[in-house]
Amino acid sequence: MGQTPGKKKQRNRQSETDADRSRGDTGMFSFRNQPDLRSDGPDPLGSDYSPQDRDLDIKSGESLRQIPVPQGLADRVREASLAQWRQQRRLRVGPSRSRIAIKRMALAACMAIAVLAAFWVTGPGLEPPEAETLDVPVAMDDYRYHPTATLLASLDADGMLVGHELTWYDAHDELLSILEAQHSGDEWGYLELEMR
Amino acid sequence: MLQAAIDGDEAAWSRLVEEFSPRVYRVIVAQCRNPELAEEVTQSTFCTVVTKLADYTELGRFEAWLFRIAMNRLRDEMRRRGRQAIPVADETLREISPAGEASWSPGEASEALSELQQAMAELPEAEQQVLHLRHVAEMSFKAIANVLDQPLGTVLARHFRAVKRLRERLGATGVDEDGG
Repeated sequence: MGQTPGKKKQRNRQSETDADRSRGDTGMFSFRNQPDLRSDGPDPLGSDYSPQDRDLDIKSGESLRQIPVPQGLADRVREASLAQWRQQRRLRVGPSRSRIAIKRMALAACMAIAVLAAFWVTGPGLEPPEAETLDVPVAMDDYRYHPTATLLASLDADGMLVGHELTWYDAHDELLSILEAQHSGDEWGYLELEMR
Repeated sequence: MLQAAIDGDEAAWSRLVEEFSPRVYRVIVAQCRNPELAEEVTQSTFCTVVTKLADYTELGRFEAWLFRIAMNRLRDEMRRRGRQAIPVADETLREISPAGEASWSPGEASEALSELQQAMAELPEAEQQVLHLRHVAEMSFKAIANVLDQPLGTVLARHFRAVKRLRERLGATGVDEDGG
């Protein structure tokens, strides 16, 4: 049998395949067929096959490729698969909406918690840091008999003055105590703390 | 076309079906030799593929993926029906025999094809699969290895043995002498 152009092409492709193999390119897919919809087609046979074997292989292929396909097969397959596809889409629409809503709500809750936590950690606290409280030295003995202590003792739990009749002397003494405290850092610190 | 189908384009999907369904059918009917079962498996394959299409990532392996699903579906169906591929019956052979005449002359086509079909049907199932995927699905040996989940060397060896066996069987009747 004469050498046909088709066979020459097959031989060229065969040498390409042999070269791939010799480079150890035994991966499932070469770069040649990566982006393609179809793979690169049947490989030509190597030199292990006799000419008779190659012809037989070609005839087998010709024979198999001509197996008749029932009339309207593609139409029936298309209709069945499209029906399946549409049904699947309908099923997906319902649950997916609620799933998305749940995801959004969860995300919003997470963000709210994160913002609150960040505010609590970095923002000005509602109470002074404990260290400040401890850093204010207070002489307990002096404090007990100091006029400021008397004033503070008259405050109720809400920090409001317990109502009583204020005499001129009381007010005078208390104002003096405040003025004195302003000049004394320790006492002013304490007073400021208590006034908060 | 495939990407359009993945994105939900029904027209693109229809074109895919038109292109691939005859090949899937031929591969299946060549193995089970039952046209009704082959059509059922073909339909089922495309229904499965279309439902998984949204999750498919295109890497150039669509064809291998499609035929793998088809082969698995056929195997499951054969198992479900409790039977294996049976040697081809004469009437079934005639039903699925090629409509054309390949490279044989008109006079010898019928007999030669019949003998070749018979010889192929008598091959071990694994070797038949390689021939069908090579010639009907028109796949490379690498793609066949992927579909069958076998090493490339195994697929090459199966094909080599299949051709040798065919030649031995047909050589006795002198069928392949004409083509050599």
